Amino acid sequence: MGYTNYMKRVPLLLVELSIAVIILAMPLLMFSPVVSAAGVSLTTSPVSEVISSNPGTVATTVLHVQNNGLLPVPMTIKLFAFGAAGTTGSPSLQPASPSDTYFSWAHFSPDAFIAQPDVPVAVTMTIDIPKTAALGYNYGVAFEPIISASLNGPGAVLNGSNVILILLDTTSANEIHSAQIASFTASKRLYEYLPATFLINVHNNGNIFIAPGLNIYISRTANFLPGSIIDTININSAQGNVLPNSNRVFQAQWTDGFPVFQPKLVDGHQITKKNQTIYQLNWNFSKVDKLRFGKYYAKLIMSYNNGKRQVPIVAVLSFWVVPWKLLILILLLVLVFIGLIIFVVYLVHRLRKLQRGTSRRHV
Amino acid sequence: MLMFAAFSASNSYKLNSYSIGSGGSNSATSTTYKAQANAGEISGTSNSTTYTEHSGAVQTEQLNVPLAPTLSNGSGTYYNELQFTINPGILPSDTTYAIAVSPNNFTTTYYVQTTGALGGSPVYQSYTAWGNSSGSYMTGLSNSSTYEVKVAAMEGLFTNTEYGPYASSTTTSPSITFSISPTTISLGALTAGNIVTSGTNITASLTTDAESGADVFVSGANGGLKTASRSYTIAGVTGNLASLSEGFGLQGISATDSSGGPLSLVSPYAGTGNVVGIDSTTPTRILTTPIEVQSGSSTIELQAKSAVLDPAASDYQEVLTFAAAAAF
Repeated sequence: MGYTNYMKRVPLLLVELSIAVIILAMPLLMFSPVVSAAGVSLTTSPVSEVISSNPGTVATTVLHVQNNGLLPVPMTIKLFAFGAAGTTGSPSLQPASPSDTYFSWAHFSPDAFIAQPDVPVAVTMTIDIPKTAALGYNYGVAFEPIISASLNGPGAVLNGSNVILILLDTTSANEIHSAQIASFTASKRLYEYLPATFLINVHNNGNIFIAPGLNIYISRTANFLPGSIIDTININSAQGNVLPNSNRVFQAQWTDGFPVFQPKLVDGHQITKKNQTIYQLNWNFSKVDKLRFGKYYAKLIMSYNNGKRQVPIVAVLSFWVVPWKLLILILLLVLVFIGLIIFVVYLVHRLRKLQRGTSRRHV
Repeated sequence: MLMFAAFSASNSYKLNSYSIGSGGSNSATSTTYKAQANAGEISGTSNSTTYTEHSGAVQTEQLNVPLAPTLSNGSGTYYNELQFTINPGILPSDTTYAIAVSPNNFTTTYYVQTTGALGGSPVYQSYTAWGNSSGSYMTGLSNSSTYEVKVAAMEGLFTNTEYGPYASSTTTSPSITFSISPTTISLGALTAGNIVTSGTNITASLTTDAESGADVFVSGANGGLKTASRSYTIAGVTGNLASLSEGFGLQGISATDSSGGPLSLVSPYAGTGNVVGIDSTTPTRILTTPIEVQSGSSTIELQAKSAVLDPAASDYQEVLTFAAAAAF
């Protein structure tokens, strides 16, 4: 083929090449990972995890993430350090700092991926625990979409991420597992109706996190003999942790009564006022035998593993349930009833007196 | 002497065999137990991996062993509880039942108590008390764990059965579903001394079955509105923009949910008017729920104020990341 013929074919080759490029690029154009302008939505599981493994070993756990959006999303994984923020079990997330050398122990497979819509992705987290490791380490594992959105003027680009909290216990020899009940209180001394709300303040005075077992037993007597226990409330069944040198307040409610206050719903939504839930009385007459009245005792049994055995700690409180509005109403009804009887007796007495007077006049 | 023996028989029943054991004291009682003595063979019990056979009249008084219960993990939504429904079959209506639960093929056995919690002793209740055909819930279970559940029946004295065949179900792992939309928010032109509010609101949605609730944090890449072209940042602030010379922040407008929670805004983001919470490079809590929450949703807006001496630029921007995390 001569040069002239070749030059004649160049435009045709370019067209063919362009078509080939377009055809080859079509899958990429069709499936190019982007974040919808509508936003991002992720589901992650579990929400937190405790890993116990010895120094010098490799620990793994599997984390799940799912993109709930309509389009594929490119994902990245970031790490946060965290401690306790307040006493609710909330984490205080902190960006990684140079002192957080334990972040380098953690690896993820895959560590970057495209999350297809509604397809769960299992990500394996591997922690290479060095022999020098001791006590506990906290990881906040954030699954975060890579955002490519841009703005033309002043404003903000928004992103969302889900964080899974990992607590690593290296089961080292110098661990001290120790906890105390800092306080066990009821929110009131006197309740009109249930629920009665209990606050359990647990202090971790050891050097490794602890998941205390908490049970409250309700009784009418202070001795809590078998058979006297009315109800048992299991708390912290999700095994929430108390971090070292921190307090965590667990809340529990005794709700098994008649009637009981329950959150007020309007159109299926709870109503709040100034961030406080509004309650209304629920009269479930199938529980009429559970009208609570009088003095009650609550015994808290907290237990935790000190590394050798379960350690139980006990605290007891008392409170009253007096449906005083109902009592006043009943008292008023009784007084009205007695008043009516007295009035009727008085009328009968007057009538008889009048009748006697009339009879004497006739005589 | 030759003796011929024949077992008793009628048109309806036939006694196939009988034997005489060592006897006992009938109807001995204590506060807890009542004994019914029975004459049975000393070696009258035999076992295999599949069956246990007992001789004697007591066994004939027992009820049928209950069927396996029906279990549900709420279509994969229960992580610390399971729903169980007793299958009464042909058992009489005054039968009471006990429910045994195990996480390890009955190496360890627990029993469902009247509250639904697991305990160490069996509790017998009627079919109605265990929730009829609607079932009831056993609580305090571990997540991502398989539990075997079986039922025993009793109707008055001496009728207590062995536990029947078991059913099993697996609890799930708690999860968080978190959404943020849209992906960009425009503030419009920043004019010195004026407070600019985002025309579009941010919507943050949160659903979680985490027992101890969850939080939503917000952090900014720049800690304020930054112009790259003029290398200046209108810093994120907490306070009333009306009384500040400049600043940038977020204000939560509302927080609602359908159940659980409540999902609520956290100070300083729960302000009104021009009171805003800081845009910081460190994640700061903006929303919280103390327990699990369904269909939680919050509306948030951005407010900014520039000062006269701020360099004029059209690229004052921030990248805000909202992060949801459960309690530990």
